[in-house]
Amino acid sequence: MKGYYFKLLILVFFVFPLDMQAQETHELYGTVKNSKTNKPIANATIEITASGEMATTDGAGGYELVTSVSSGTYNIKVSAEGFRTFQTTHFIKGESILNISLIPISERDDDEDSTFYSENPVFIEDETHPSKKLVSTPSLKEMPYILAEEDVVRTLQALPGISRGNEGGTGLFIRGGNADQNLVLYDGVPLFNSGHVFGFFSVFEPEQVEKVNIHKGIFPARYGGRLSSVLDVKIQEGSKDTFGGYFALGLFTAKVGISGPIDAAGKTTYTVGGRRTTPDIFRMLSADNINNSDRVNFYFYDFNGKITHRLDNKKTLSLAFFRGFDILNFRAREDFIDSINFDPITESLRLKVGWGSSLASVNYTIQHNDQKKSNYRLSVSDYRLLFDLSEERIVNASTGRRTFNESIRYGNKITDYIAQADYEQVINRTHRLFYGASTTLHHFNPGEIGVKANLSSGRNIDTIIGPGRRNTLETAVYIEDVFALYSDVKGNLGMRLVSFNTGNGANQFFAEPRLHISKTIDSSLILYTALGRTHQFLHLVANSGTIFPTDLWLPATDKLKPMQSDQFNIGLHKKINPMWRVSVDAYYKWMRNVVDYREGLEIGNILSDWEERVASGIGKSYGVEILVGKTSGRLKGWLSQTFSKSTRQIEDVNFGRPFDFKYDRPVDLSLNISYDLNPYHTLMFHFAYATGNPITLPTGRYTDINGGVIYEYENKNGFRLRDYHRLDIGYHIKNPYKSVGARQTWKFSIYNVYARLNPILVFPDFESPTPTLTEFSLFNFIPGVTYQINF
Amino acid sequence: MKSIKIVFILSIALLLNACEREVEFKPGTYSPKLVINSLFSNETPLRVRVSKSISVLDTNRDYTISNATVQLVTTGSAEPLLYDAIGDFYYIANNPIPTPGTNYVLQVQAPGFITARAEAKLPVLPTGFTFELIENVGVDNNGIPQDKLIIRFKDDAKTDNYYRFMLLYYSQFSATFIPFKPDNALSENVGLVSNSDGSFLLSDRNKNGQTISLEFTIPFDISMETPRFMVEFASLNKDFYEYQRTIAINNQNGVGLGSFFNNPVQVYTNIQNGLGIFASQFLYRDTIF
Repeated sequence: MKGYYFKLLILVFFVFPLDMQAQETHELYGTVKNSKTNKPIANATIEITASGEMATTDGAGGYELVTSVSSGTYNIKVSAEGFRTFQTTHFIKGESILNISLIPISERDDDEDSTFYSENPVFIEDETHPSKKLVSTPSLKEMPYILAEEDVVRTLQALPGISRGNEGGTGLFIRGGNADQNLVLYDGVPLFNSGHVFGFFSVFEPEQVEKVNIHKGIFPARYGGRLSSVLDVKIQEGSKDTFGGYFALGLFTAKVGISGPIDAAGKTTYTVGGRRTTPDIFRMLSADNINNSDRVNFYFYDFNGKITHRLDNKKTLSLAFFRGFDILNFRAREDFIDSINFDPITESLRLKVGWGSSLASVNYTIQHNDQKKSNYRLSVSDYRLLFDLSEERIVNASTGRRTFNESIRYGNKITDYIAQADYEQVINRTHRLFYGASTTLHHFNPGEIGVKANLSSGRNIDTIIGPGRRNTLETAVYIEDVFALYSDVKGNLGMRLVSFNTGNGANQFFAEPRLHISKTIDSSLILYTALGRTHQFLHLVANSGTIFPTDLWLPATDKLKPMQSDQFNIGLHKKINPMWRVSVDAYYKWMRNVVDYREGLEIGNILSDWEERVASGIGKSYGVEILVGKTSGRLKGWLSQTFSKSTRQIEDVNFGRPFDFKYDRPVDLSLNISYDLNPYHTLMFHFAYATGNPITLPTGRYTDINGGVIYEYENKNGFRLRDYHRLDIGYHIKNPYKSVGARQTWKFSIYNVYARLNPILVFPDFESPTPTLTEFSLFNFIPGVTYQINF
Repeated sequence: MKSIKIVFILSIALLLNACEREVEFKPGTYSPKLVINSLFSNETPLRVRVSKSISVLDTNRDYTISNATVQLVTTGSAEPLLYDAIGDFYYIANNPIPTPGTNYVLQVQAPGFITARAEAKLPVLPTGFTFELIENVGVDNNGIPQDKLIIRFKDDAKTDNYYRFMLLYYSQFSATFIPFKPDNALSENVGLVSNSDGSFLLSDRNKNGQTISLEFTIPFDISMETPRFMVEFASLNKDFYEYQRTIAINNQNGVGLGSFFNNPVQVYTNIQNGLGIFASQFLYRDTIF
């Protein structure tokens, strides 16, 4: 611990003084963009209200305002035709950057409190929802990323209370909850698999993301079906006015997207994008290292799109889709001569494994008036794994050619069919209602094995075996009142009622009350508290913190009850000055019917009697989360620190005794700093520190009833891997080539600068004369580069 | 193109540059525990082996305890067990056969250890056993005919039941029955756990009160002698089932230390203040001609 604080202090003292420069005159510069489309706004006016000094943005949305005011905090007013006027305070000293996103007047922010945000605040606190964080899209660009590939989820992992699982993964483990306990919404539709390459990349393309809301604690009653959190990713609509797009090429992926109006009036807009691994990973390696007739290849892709059609000023119809898949291919062939009959024989083997998610939705929105809005959505979302292994044997005998083949196909799949209606209505100045209903048919196909064979014996096999398909039905109604008791007391009181049918019996009913309440002590200090209950009717049977194709979604059943969680939050949010803010959250969470494997899961057999192989019990999680952010100036960033504990107690695991949750991290720290060297060059640092993951190791050994030796594991997760820490550095160069008539960015990054070997596993060897542990680390020093053009 | 390939390969190499490092293991002070291993049945008298557990860092590997005091308590009376130094086990004088329904409580004391205790009761056997051997049901990949053996029995709906069974074929060469471990037993008989000795474990949790049917596909030429097969069937108490199940999975995981895909297994024990198992089984055998 001493070492880590020492490194942290060096980092802070090394970096922060960079902001302490003094000049006679000051320069304020930045860009002004459309908050919806992320496009630059020309002719926007930026004014220092105290001095009346003004600047106007150019065609690229950029501005420079040289001012002679003495250093200090000033009110800045930003206005543009067709947009809401935005006012903020900003500390002016030397060169400072203020990037602004303006909200179009015709658009209505669907956040209940209509939160304005400038680009500078990285995370916006929501007064009525403690533990909710709104991540502005530009803030995603203010962190160094592995391989210089910006990633929404990695930004979230730097928030307090959210841990990443294993090294390099994009799993989200929130407040002691498992990765399956997060409701991940892709434009309002649940998404099952949010990662590529075993979770190394997330599926969200930052250029297409309009905004990201994450609810770490008690979430509003309009959300349900998951236990721990909601990650609500809203996808941008295409611009009504101009055609635009982006193209980026990195070491591992290439991505492209375009958007714009379909018709001249801008009634119909579109946005489409896609990404694919640039080289098919392993293909180039395998070509040199394996026999030429053998091929192994891995790649992933995703594509998405959204078409929005405004029927009139009040009615909008939109269609959205997404598909993300990982594919692994392996082919091998061998030619030989049969040693008995001397017949030439060719044997070939082909393996194809594919897994991923797809979704599609139709959305119909009616903005009745300023007080009422209705939204209707039909959607389908699935996750599937396909495993196809086939073997072929061709015998070129003198008597003729004979072909024999065998194939095994395995697939598991979950599909959600969802219908929902949501309403929003302003009752009066102090009450705003959200209410609605949804019904979800969960269709599970937890594992079918199809066998086809044309055997040398002449026998043909064509059969399907598996545990059988199952449907469950989850229906919910909810109502929320977003209220203001007084001008300084606001809140959200909600109730969600859920009916769940396991498909085998009668409906079960569950009530989920939720309450958030906040009090503003003065204009800079907000205190808040929340409590509520959630249920989850799905279980993810997974074997790792990363996303593996063997992950299996299974329903709650009569035996394996739905998970339930009660949570209590309390916290404060303090604006220290216009640049600095701090928030502190404390929580206590009780979970029931959480699942874990009974001793010794065997993946191959999980299909047969999966209810027998998992056990359920209780979980507890509590902690304190601290977030300190500097939200403007050339130097920006945030420090997040979590102190927490998460345990499980399950009758058939660890002899019924409590044990640490697999991703329990008592201390988790993240420091993110970005420093604008000038308008075109930005330097970024990210430092992460966390307690090592729990692991299970033996302490003793003894003999079993047959005389064999057994290792004694006194406590599940009773040991810890070494503490985790690493430093990443990023460097962005904006518009390096003036001749290119578009915004371009070179992005460089170095992941794990000092090549810390953070263990993810240990392999014990207690059979050798000198017992040893061998740590296995996945990554050390990884450089990355990406070139991106936005037009 | 070649330079791009080199850059890519270097990047891949950096990315996948997994590293291994040996570190010292400091598990803290380990307190050895008494280890009791005892299995009794309707056929065999009760015998108890007593040993101790040692630290994983202990290179001496001496598990023996020779000065333990072992008592068996039944219906309120405690009877000390005798020690057989040759066989290294404790036994009851006159070697009585345990009886179903009796609750046996075992207490073991040894200097330097906390007294260990365990109890077990002999289970009863299910009813309605039938065996069916169907010849020439099909052919294998090589065109060789196959037989099928079906074992059926009725599970008692009133209790949680646990079973172990083993199929053995007669070898004229050795004049003994040898365990037969068909490859397809697991896929054809859902919910089974296979033991390294060729036996299978089964719980009635998914089949409570039902007639349980177990099917084995048998190569035509595996046993042409008579009797062809013997079925060894045992009704287990829950403790022994859990012990056997966790040991079986522990053995399947390799060295018992887990791996990336398998968590380490905490082998079940019903010994209070100790390790091991004090368990019982009701055995039944039958031959198939």
